Amino acid sequence: MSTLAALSALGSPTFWVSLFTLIGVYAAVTMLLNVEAGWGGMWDLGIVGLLAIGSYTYTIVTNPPGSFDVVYAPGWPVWAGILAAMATTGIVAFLVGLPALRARREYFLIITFAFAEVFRQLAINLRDLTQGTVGFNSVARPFESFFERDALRAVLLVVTWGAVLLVYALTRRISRSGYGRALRAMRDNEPVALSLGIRVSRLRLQTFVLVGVAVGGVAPLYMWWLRYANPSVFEPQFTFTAWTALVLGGIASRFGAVLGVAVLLLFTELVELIDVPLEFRNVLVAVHPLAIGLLLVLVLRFRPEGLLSERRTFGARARQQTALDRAGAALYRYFVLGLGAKARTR
Amino acid sequence: MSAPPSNGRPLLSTRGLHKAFGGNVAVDDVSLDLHPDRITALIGPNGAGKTTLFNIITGYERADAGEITFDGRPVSGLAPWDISRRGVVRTFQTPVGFPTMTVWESLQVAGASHAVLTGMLTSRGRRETDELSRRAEEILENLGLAQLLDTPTDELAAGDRKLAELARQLMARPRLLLLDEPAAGVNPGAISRLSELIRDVHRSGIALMIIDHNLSFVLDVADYVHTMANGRIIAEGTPDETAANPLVRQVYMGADT
Repeated sequence: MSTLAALSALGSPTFWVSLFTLIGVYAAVTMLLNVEAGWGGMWDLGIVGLLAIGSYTYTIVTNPPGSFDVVYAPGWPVWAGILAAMATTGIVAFLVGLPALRARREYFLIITFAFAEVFRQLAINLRDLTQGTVGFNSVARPFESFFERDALRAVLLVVTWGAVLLVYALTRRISRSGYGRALRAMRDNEPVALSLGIRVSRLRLQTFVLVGVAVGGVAPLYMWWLRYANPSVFEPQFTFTAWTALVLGGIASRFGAVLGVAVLLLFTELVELIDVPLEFRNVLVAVHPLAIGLLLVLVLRFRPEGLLSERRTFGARARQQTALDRAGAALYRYFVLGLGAKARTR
Repeated sequence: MSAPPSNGRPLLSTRGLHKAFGGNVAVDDVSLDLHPDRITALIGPNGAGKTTLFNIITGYERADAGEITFDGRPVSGLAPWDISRRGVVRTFQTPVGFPTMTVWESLQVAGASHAVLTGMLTSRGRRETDELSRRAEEILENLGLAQLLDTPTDELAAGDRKLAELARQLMARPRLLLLDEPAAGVNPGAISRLSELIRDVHRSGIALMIIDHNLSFVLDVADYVHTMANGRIIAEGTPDETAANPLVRQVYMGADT
């Protein structure tokens, strides 16, 4: 029986569509974590807190009026929900960052971890707004009226990976800009960064807010994949998975976050599908974290910097422009700066 | 050798600077004027308060009392990044720099626009990157480091690391450069070359103040020398006057027994 179940899961497109959508969501969040933690040296252990703020904001403002027993359900369209999620998450990141960024390294880590838990407790206790532990059992998704169930899943997979590409383009641009170098400089050596005129404290806060806004933009994708929201999906496990993937893929590299997430989630999902007799099922569940730990140990034993590394991402290549860079720069100049120029002349 | 004329307004002045760590007085009533037209040195035995004075001038430590003016404006109590942007740039005793970056990359950090986040999104930022790249190559060329462009900072030899640090801090466009022990760890054979480079930097219009232990190096490169001991300036004058000063000889030769 279980053999059949496992095989049919592997053969079903729904399984893969769902898995790769989730990989996309995690990849986007992990790339953003890398900007903050990998390059900026801010060890944020509360990234799921920002994701929770974004997810709840999106879900609450897009809920159709009267659909749930809550005080606020304005029924905004999806795009407005996304913007609201980004704005709220950005503001919350600013308010959290203001005190938290005064602390360094492990203290910052503890504070961000605590804030994420505070947000989860708020979601549990602000019942009039969030329905407490019950949460919401449906979430507004885009294109719902255009596609039937399976097709919509495939469309959302494409949308998710479009967002992944966008986040990757953003991080690529950061890594090649003075901003990205200033981040790595303040991480490597704060006194020297200061001596070069880098306003370290403001740069930290700017980065924390930038990452917050972007995580707010990713949060709706998570909601579309999950199709429900309750406090249990914002437990610290999400943050730990993103961090494990980041270390696995190569912290402070550029593509490592995506690779690490793909390897980690494919690995854990396939371990789930291992065919064991029912009576050993609970043993497998217990061994699951152990298997992830083993994977991490093996990768770090043979590639201490992760599958990809900062040195290979930057190093001598930092000075060269690849064809991809030139193409990206041309597109950027044409669309973004071109539009800006038009707007100015008008 | 007589000191070049030092008339005109000093670029940097300190008045009555005082700093104590607990009961330990590190800087005691230090008043000095730094004129841009001569290379100024600050010498003194270990623990004399030289680096603490640098830290105070560049904003890394806050003085308990006293005033600092740079180019006629008070700069006491400003943050290090602010002082750097006004043109007072320092080097560090241990040239660790940015270990994960290549020499070229760390020079790019130094020259980047201060509006880093918005610079990323505008064409100004992009033009600036191209200009910085040219300037970095020029500076490295002048210091004889052109072949080390792509070397990671943590793989440099000690002497090259010092020069790479000098190159990086020059990218920040200093008007006054404070060099904290530039000759430490530099191979004795390369010291005369270092003196030459430091004079070149000064000739290019950058005011200089140097701390070093190596007396012969300092007396060779500097035009004017302040001697510190126990937090106080105990002597100042030309290198010749300094070398002949019995007080200086006393603190250096330990002749106080």
